[in-house]
Amino acid sequence: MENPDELEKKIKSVFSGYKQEPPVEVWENLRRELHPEPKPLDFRMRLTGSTFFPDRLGWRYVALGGVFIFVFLAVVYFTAKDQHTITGHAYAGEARLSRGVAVLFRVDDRLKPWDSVSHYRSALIDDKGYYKFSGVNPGTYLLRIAPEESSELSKHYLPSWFDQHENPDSSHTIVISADDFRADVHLLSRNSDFR
Amino acid sequence: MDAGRELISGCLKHDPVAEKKLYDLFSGEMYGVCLRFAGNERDAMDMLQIGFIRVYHNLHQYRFDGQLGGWIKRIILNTAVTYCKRNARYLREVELKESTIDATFSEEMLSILTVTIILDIIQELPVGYRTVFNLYVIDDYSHKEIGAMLGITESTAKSQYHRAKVSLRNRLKALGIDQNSFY
Repeated sequence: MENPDELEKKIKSVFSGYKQEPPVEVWENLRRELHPEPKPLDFRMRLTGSTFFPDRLGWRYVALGGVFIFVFLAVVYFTAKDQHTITGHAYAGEARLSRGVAVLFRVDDRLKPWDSVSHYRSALIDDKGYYKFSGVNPGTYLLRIAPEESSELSKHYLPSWFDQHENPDSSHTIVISADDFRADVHLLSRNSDFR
Repeated sequence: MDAGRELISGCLKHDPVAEKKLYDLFSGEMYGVCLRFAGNERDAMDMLQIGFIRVYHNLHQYRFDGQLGGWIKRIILNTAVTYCKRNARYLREVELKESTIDATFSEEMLSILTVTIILDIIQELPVGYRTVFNLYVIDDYSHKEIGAMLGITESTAKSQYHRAKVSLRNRLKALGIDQNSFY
């Protein structure tokens, strides 16, 4: 400070080394801030997620995520539990059908199957004669296998219903309730000599 | 290891006994600093508490290259200035009503000025005047340094100091502590 007057010199000297004992509560507050006392555990706290997950992880979100995953898996499980597969091979004579289409029809009235059918699903038959319908709900079905129209086999084999029937009225129904179903289908020959 | 290092080491390990000892050693002087800057006792207590929290949190940065008391005082003083800066508008908005210095003080009159009287008068000053006056007259900061600390220009700091000085003298005069009143 440049050229202090007498009053300023006096003030400076008065405060030089000036001490004043602070109130006790300052230290008490300071101590509590430096060493926070743990909160007493009450009944509710013992039962919250904090007991198992540190608060910084946001135990509420962890618990909510767990519930969500559980519900999701339960839905997936119970949905899949009621769904089945129908698989099998299609044969043209002794050989497996290399190309074709498998069509599944749902039957609402088992006494009059053909009068109450509706298309349920179609599947391509692979080059090993294999077809598969996944996620089939419980019910009664008719299965029709047809060789690819442009193929040589279609000239010799008829589209056929499970199991080896030319007409749906006389074909077997497939009943899906608790298990998967395997249905091999042998196509009927247009010419009985061609086997 | 000397006592100072042992004390600091204890504080760094969060030893409550060492922390209390450090507080007991310096809290009196630091509270005196806070009282000068604060407008009242409650603010001074807040400044001291916040300041000591910073001291404990930054103690690992103390390099033993100066007096521990001086290092702590700098932290407390910065805390006090920051606390005052919360009322930043004061620096521009407070208008000077007193404009003349017409009070004179003899040595005899100055001798009756106790720390309590001076403290009361300083605490009555507007926060801007008070902060600048404290830093310039008592803590030996230059106007340039004060400007940097408070985020104001050097000339504003000078102006604030001058106004503080006028205000202080007029308040003393109002209390009857000046040459004219004394005789």
